[in-house]
Amino acid sequence: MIQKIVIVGGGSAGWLTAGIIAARFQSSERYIQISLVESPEVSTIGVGEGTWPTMRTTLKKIGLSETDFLSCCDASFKQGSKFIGWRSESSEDVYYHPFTLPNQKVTWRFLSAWKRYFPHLSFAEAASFQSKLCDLGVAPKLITMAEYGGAANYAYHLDAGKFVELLKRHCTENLGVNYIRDHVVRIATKDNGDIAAIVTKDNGEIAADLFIDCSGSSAILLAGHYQIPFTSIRQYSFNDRALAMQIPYADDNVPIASATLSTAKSAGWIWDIGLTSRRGTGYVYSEAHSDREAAEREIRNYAAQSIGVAAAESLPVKQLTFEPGHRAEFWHRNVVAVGMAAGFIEPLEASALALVELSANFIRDELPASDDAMTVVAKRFNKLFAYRWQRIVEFLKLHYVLSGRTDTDYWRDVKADSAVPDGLKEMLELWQYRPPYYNDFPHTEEIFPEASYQYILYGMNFQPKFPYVEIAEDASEVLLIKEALSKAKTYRENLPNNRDLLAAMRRHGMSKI
Amino acid sequence: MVGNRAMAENVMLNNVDHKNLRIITRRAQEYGDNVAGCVVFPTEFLEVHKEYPIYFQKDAETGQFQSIALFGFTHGENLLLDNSASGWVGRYIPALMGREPFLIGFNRSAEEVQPSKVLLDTSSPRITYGEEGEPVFLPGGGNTPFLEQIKKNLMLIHEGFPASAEMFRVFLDLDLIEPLTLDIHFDNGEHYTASNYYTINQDRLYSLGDDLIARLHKSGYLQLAYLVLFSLGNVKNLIDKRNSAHRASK
Repeated sequence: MIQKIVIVGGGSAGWLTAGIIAARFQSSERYIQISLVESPEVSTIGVGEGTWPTMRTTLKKIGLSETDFLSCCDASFKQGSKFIGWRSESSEDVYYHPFTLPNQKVTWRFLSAWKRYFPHLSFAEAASFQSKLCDLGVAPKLITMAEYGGAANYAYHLDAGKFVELLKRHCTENLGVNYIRDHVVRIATKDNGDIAAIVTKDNGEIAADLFIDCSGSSAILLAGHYQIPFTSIRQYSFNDRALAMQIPYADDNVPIASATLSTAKSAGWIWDIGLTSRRGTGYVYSEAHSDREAAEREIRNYAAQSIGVAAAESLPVKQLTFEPGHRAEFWHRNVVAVGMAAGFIEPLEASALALVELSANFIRDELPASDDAMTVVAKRFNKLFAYRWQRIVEFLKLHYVLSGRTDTDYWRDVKADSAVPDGLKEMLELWQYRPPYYNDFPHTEEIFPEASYQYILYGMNFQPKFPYVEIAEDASEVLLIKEALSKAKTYRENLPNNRDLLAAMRRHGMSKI
Repeated sequence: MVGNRAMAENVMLNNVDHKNLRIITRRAQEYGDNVAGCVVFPTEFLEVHKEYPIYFQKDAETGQFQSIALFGFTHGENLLLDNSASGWVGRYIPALMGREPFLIGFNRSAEEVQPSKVLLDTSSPRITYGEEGEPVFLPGGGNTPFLEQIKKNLMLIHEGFPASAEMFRVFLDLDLIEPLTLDIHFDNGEHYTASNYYTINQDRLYSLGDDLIARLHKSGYLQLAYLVLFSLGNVKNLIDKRNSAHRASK
């Protein structure tokens, strides 16, 4: 019977996993004891500040109030991503990937209606009201709406360090998670090869039935102990360095962007995440195509656009190095890896925290009752997450392959035939004749829905070979595009701006209903 | 929902400058009484619940819950206004309306903000120095019973805000509040729906354990919850009034 779970590592992955599992079994007939062991000698990475809308469900289930979360983590509302300079070098070149799904099925008839009657609109504008809200810095909800509810679908931007602190407090004070601050010195195994216990410096042996490896890229259990090989995805995903820089707001009136800004640069792209307290930015680039000095110049120039040269030159930058890829197996014997211990890829669509949520949800829902069941659960977990990684790699690649940029080696190399996964090539061939639809993504819990592919594909100006069809002026496709436009108008007239709403929420709080 | 006139000018009330001041207490559109509801406080639920439906609603600026006595269904519709001498069909006027045109003055120099004086909103159309209306001061300069009633209303309001916040904190903690949709078909075919109201969740209230019920009872919140539930039937009076008003206007 699996009763004791030990989580190794206390970053966002460790505490989020602890919270997700502990909240489920807190008031359950099944007794589960969760301990989290965090080394005082290892510091957490502290980036990963964008989430998916799934985080709303996650936080609600864990039992955190949205008001507490927003104020503790300097968090703000994220309604999608804005891609700047991905089609061409121009800073005017922008498109959105909003979280709200298109208001109609994206069919050939829809594409034809859009091109015939609304050629001046972007795909996102024709399919959803939300990109307009992002453009205008309008919040996704009213203060009178319940916690975790919104007029438009939304996720968060958050301060990763503060998020970990909040989760840790909540897990230890309210969810009964046992926190052990100690360094793992050795692994004790059973005869069958399972891990029996981790041996710590001060607390000795800590035994468990299941170990969750959240120790970051070193993956001390899965890689360190079991030597599970690493599957590199460098062939497809070039970026392996990041220069992170926190940028202060010039004053209290600067709008807080309600979308993650992703600006393409000469050897990668810059993320820009607006919190209530500051912006978190970072240049994620390919070491093979740039060097630290040139990259630092690019991010400082980027910062200078909003805060001036002098301020931009004085800000500290922090360099991060990562190897794009994932473990060949995620769950081996009685160890499962979550977070960077499982793998890491550039944060282009903020998949890191989402993968933690998905992994922890799976472990929670399938928590094997016995060692025999564990073998089956592990096999299923490995299969599902290998598929998810493949999907992430392909989806991220989609952002690059359609780019018209040829200004640097980087932009020429990322589109090279050998750098594009076969699965993506096949889909691009099909999409010449029809839009991405559900048959392309057969899993019940796809990591990115077909809408995401549609927003990127048509956002990047994909030109299908197949001719558009003739659509009547009063066809339902046309009327639904008009409806999206009028909804955008109603919402922007009635919803507050992002900064004002966040300020009002900090002052008054929100109600849980 | 209480109309705030722009350019309100408030002066300290005193029995020298305002010796002959009278206040028109009749309710009418010209005095700004054409409101579809009024914020009410827990301390007046006992009176309010007999005549008007009490709904909870969130303040649009702060998102905080407040209690509303409903008088009508559309903006500016007050079904309680009539042509009688008082201008109002109900017996109880909520404190926030009954205190007009007076406000509480705060002694800002003091460490703690305490109500000290009564302010007069000089822009109010209720003010007169003629024969009509209620005198504020007695010929000798003392307070009239009318002014004493005004002061009671002002205290009720002053204490009402924190009392209200505390009541909602208790109700929310126990998950006792649920959304309520008003869905009304009037005789003339008009269909009215409103989904921005909330009320007490009866099922939840009935399922509370003995200890919680005893605690709610002793702290007075159980009574408030029931007063709110009892008040809901009053919406029927408003519907009847609206239906007969439409019949009469045909």
